Amino acid sequence: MTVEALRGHRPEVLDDLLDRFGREIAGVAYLILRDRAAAEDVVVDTLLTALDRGEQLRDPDALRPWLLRIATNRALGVRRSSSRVVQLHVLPDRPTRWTDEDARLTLLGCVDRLAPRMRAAVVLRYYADLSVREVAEALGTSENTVKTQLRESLEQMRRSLGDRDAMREATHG
Amino acid sequence: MADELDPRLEQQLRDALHHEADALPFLVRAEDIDRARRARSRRRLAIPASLLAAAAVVVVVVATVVFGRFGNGDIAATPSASVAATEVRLVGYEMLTAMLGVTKADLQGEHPVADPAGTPVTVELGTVSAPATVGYAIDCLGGHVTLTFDDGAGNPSTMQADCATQPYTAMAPGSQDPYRVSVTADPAVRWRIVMVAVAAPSPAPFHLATYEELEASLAESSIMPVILRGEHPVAETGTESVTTDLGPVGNVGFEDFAYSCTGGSIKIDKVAGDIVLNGMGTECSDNIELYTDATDTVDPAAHIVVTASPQVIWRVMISGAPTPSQEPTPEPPTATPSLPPVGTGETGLISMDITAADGSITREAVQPAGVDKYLLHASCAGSGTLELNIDGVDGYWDCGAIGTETFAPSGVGNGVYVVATVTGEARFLLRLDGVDLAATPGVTFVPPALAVQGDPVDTGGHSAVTAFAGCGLRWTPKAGGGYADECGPSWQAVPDHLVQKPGTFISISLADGWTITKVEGAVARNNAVVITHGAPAEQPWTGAASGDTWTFPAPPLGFWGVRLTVTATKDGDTFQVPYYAAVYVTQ
Repeated sequence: MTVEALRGHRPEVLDDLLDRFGREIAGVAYLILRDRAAAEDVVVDTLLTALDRGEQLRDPDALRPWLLRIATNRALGVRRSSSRVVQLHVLPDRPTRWTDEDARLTLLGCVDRLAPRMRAAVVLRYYADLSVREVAEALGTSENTVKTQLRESLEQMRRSLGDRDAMREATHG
Repeated sequence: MADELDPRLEQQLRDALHHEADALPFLVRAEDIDRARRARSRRRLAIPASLLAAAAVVVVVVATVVFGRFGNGDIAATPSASVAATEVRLVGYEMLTAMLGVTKADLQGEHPVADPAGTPVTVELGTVSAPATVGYAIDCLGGHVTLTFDDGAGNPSTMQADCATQPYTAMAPGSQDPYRVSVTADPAVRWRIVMVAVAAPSPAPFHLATYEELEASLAESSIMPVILRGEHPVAETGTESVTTDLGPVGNVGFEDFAYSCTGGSIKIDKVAGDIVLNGMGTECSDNIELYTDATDTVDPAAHIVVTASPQVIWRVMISGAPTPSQEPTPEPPTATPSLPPVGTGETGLISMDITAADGSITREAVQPAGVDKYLLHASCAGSGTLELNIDGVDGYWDCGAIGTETFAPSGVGNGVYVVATVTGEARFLLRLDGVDLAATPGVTFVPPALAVQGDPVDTGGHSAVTAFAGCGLRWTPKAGGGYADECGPSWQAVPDHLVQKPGTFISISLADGWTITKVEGAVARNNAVVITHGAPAEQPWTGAASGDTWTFPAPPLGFWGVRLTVTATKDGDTFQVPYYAAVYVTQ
């Protein structure tokens, strides 16, 4: 029903899309952009773009990855055209021990440092849980490229976590 | 398979991403989407200035009419909501015609009586000659209507108009032939419409921009070299679109386009084989237009192709630069230190500089006391890369990204060192903060470019000003991009030793080549700003002894936070640094 409404450019479908996919689109956009306001703009832009281009959605089962593809491309465009403002993580002033929070921040820091399209691949694979094939389609690239990007990204993260562990040993015994 | 690399790490990553993104408040509402959709629809309607002027004059009248529906007895005396909806009188043809700024409409039609049980109703309005822009004014109740422009050649164009009372314009659907106009709506929708055909204005002589002009336009916003260009300078006949391959774009993932065209629309796509990787389509205008493909789509087989009708004449120029490889630079260039030395034991803001360089810069042996964690900010702009090694740990930034890293010194004996390796034409900023800045006495701010310090003259016994550069640093390179702290609404805490007495003098020292363009001060308590004050009003401050003075109004009695935000430029870069202090007013 939603897909038919999209293909018919019926605006009432927007409410349904927002309810079903809005938060996830915002999450994907935020993890790429690290800017909540810009991510919410991407949500609006994505849904309106979907309404405009509903007839391009050939497979009704692909609605979700199709929306995430639009959102990812919008976010990547926003990211490179914006003033590149970074949001800093709020850190405790005096961390006294290494915790899961450190690992989480380390991983997020690694994601932030990835090249934009690698970051998008990681977000789509591990946040949106798209398959490698769907990630490749969303980014307009091959599955092998995505696999390589994911492998390299994970390797960087593994190294960073390993370095953290080494630092922990050195500084806190 | 990538999935099989490290299930535990992958799960950690999933958890981290969901923890980060799912905790965000989600504030987009259906109303926001609807508002954006309406705004987008309005933008698509190119309203001739004459019609706009007419509409502006008439809106007041219409507003009165709309209000009159409810206040002037046009509805039944005691209607129910549903009855009221059916009995509201539609705005008449004359008023709608007046909204278009004309005395006579070319077409008109209506469906004035709702029939909830019926089928969709289509009303033929008649035929409009093309090419033309049509203006129409509609009053509509109960939903929306769909306008259809049919040239009889199998190219009908439809447009949806939400119910309202207002004038619109619509572009002719592209045909050179007359086209029939009809309105279709749900039978429950009541509407009345008038339409005028506005002859297309005689176009001004079009000038197809030369390559030199396109290059000049590109140069205003792009620092990347021209990589491709192409043209279709003479209109041809025919109906099939013409696709022109401008050539391979290789591993370029960020392109700036400048184009000039007329006669219709063009598409500029990045394609690899049959796959369109990215693209844009646009109506031609009389101006040189600029467009950036910032999606960072890279494919070794990618080409740039331009597609347009044979009647369209166009000229396109593209600049771009290769996307940096993800591989670390194997052989760092020879070290070329250009930053001033950082003394052992220095705390707070350890180093900050922006520079253009091609080489390595090492900041070493910094071991501040009492600081056990650091926050490093790195930003890079340009076509190069920035690689950081912090205490032996590699970090990597390409110039399309910025990043923040936290780390701890590896040991008392080892100190902290940062090696920045810059390749290519990059400008970068490094900033290293001790996280427990506020707890460390004797903090001084030591950026090489700007310094706020106590005035050497007699200050009447008051303590000299000391301030620290806190959150709010912003760097805007002339080449684009930039960096900014995200500080949130709260002011930074000010340590006791930075509390000043009122009447303290401040001097701002400038390094060579810097110009202060703006100084803004604010006084606040509990994050509520009570005083703001800015200078200079006219002339920027240059040099260390410009002699400008600036008096900040005194706040009321009590303890107040003071933030002095200095904006300065050097070599086209803009640098904004907030300095925090406090003042205690006793009398």
